[in-house]
Amino acid sequence: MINKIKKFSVENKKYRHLYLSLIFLLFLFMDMGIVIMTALDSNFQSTINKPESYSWLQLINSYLIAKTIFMPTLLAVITSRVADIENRGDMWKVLKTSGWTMEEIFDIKFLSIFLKYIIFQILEGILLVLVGRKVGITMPIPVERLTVTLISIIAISFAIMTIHYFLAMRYENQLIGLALSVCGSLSGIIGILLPFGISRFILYSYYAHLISTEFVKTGKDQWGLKLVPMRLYPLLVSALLGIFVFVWSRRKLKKLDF
Amino acid sequence: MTMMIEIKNLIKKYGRETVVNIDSLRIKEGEIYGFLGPNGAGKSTTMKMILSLVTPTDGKIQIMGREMNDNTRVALLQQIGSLIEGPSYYSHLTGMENMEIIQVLKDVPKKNIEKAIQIVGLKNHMNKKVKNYSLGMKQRLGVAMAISNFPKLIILDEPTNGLDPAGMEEMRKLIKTLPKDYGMTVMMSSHILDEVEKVVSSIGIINKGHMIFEGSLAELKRDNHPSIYFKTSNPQKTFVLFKEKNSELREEGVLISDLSDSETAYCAKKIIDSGIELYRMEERTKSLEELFIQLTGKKSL
Repeated sequence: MINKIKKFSVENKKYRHLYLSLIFLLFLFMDMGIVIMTALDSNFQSTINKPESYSWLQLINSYLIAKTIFMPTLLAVITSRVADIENRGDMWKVLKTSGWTMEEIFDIKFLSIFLKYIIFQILEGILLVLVGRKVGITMPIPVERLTVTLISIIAISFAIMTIHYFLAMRYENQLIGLALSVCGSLSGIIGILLPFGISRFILYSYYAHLISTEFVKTGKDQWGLKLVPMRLYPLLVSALLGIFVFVWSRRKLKKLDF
Repeated sequence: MTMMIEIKNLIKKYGRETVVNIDSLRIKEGEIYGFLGPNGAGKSTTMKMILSLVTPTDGKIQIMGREMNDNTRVALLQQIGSLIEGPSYYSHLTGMENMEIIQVLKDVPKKNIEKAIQIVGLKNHMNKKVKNYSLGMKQRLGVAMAISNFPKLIILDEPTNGLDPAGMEEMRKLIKTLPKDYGMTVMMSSHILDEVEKVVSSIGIINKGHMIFEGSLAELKRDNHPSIYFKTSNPQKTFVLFKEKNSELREEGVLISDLSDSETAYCAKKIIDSGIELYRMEERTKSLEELFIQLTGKKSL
């Protein structure tokens, strides 16, 4: 156990001068920027706190759109940064000849960045609530929906992170993962416009699948919001997929020669 | 004497191509072993297999009497230092931060780190980011990392790469001190054969994945007879006399390779009997470079 803690601490030492916190902060600003823009929108402001306006859920929805756009890029950048520090100076050999197994390297690196991501995610959750309160939402916070949404976001990010982590660890060319993240964001956005039956096969659109309301026609030229039941499959599918990719890539990288 | 490394029937295949096929390689404790071979001969792959960075297709590697496998790997690697295919480092960190990481990775006391830095002469550059180091400084940092646990065995792949002549001399001196002062056994590969000749106590020559010679430098030179230079009054006529042999026409005489003592006497007699005046006979010992070319058929650089 002491050995594991030591290895974990040495992994974090390597991240000095990598500006990971700054990258997280930048994405936090972008996510919150979209939420704040929604909160300050005149349509939102005019219907705030009306029961049929689902103010909290509208705010959460805008946050989910921000996640669809930005999250794949953040995950690709973070995984690429932590794998690339080993590639650039060819430190894999030193790690392996210092008695580390590839599985240990894989686990500790992943855990280090995933924990950082979870902290970032919790912080964003808190900020989301603070922004809602600050702009004047007085309705009770939909704790259950918010919790399930945040846990689902973490699960989706876990699955996406395992894919980008594998690519970053396996291929020295970090553009592969970054290019996939751009395609992922695009497919996520396109996925929103596609029928659910199709977009269910697009992992990157799962953030948008968590959106809790949909527009319904209430009259001639009149639209209203309808509450949709909580969707649990993004959480379940992502968690299972993430675990599968994690175990598979761990095995795959174990066999890699240096 | 105890064997530090013992390899038997080591094979590495990539697809159908066999890149290493070594019947035997033996490195004794306390020696400096020069591992030579042209580019692509399989030197680095062999060293990587010893360090379990590459999985052998077949064969056995014993280090300090223990077979290298998944169960012994960690324990054995803790007693080995290595520098493979150039230095490894975190370029975004300073030299000292790199060494601090190595300290934790190898679980060695701080005094080891300080000593290793002092040995490689990098003390005044430790607060600089490694990306701003010269190649020579990076090489020294790599060596400092390799010796930081003061291992019993150190494996250095082209340790003089990128160093200027003064740096090479320093590195050579450093390598020489490792067995003497720190009880280390050194396995080093190099292309600069003159450098190797000055440092090693025994050598292994590998070509196309096969070990074609293993032994001491003296044995290598003994097995390959020296060339004899005959300075005569008529070099052209002398050359015609010995054109069947491995001879070379020079400006004032003829150089004949691989002559035993009796063959030398026979050649001298033949020159004199042919009415040619024999002015001088000189023994020309082959350099390691010449022997290397003779064995591998390739220039080393």
